[in-house]
Amino acid sequence: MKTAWLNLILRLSNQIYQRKQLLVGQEGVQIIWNIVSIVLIEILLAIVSLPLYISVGSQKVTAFLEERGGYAKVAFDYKLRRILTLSGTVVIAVVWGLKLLLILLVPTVFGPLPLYYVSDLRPPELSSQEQAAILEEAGIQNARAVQSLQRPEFTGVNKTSGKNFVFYGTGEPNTMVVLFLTDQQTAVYTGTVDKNGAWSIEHGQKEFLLSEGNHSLSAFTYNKQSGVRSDFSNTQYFKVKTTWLDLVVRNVDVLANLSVVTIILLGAFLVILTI
Amino acid sequence: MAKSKSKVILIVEDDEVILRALYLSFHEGEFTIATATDGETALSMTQRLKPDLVLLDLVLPKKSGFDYLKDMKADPVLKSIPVIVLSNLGTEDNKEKAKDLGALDYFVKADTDLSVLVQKAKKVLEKNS
Repeated sequence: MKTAWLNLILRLSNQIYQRKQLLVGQEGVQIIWNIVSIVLIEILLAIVSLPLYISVGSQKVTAFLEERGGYAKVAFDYKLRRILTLSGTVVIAVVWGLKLLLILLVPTVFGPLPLYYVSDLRPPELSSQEQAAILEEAGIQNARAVQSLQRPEFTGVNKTSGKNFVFYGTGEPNTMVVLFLTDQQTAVYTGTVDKNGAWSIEHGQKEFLLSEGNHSLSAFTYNKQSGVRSDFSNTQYFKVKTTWLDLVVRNVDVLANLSVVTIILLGAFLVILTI
Repeated sequence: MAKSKSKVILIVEDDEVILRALYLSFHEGEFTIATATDGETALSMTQRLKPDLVLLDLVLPKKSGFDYLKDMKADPVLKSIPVIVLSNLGTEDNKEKAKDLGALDYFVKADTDLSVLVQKAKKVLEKNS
């Protein structure tokens, strides 16, 4: 097994040598293909030969020195540049391999990523001018506010499958509930209050991505038949918070690329030191 | 370090991957391994260590394997040291040239099984002991 592995290393090294020799006298596509194949074999060799760099160190090399009459460590000039090239190649391959694994396996193993954390509901203020403007846009601006219609109340907010939010509340049974959700802009949702006075409205992050931070919610109920609406509910707000896992996954490209840049800079620095 | 003198093999190879692979192949035997990565260092180490066997690559920096062979075989103290060539150069011309210069055997890397090379080295060392 060990001999087969070492023979493979010998063969791959020889392949690189042979292909380098072929470069002289080649041109056009041939030379490009040859260079690509040399790089690929170098990467393969780097991976295959990695245990050699771990198991064989220069300190282990000893020799019998006649003038000393005994064994001593013999200094020998390994080519540091080759070590750096190979190590760098392996690290880059490993980084990209990990990145690929992360992209492929995380959703499989953990399911849809829990992208947001939702805190408890708390009441903030929403500008009445903003509410009026939205009402106008929603075409319900002519509805008369009456105290006889029960004001809606928020009872909870949940996130579903990592991305969407569902808002729950109560209100006047068998009416329409109009919900205002604010971020940089304000979204208006409508839903139906059932006969038990409960309603729920789902917000899809794909349609309107809520940014990180606090967002306000307010609502009223609207009776289409009589053209009247309730007063606004107390305004509530909830917080969208990005998790560390989301940050890692979202920035995996940046991390991988940064690591490559770091390795190249470190490699260049070490090469300069060896000159 | 109180040890009896074991057989010393000098491996001359400029490709570090192959050098390490050769080191690992011979390391488990009863040999002491010394290494050099260019022809000049190889010659000075040969003069200093007087190894029992030299495993020589031909394409080397500073001094080629052929020049190393020429200089070494011209030295009356060193000329009896057996040299086995392990090279990428596979043409008959190169094989003949190396043998004419005093190489005991010639292996081409593309066709070489390292276990065969180790066996060959052992035989040479047994014969010379």
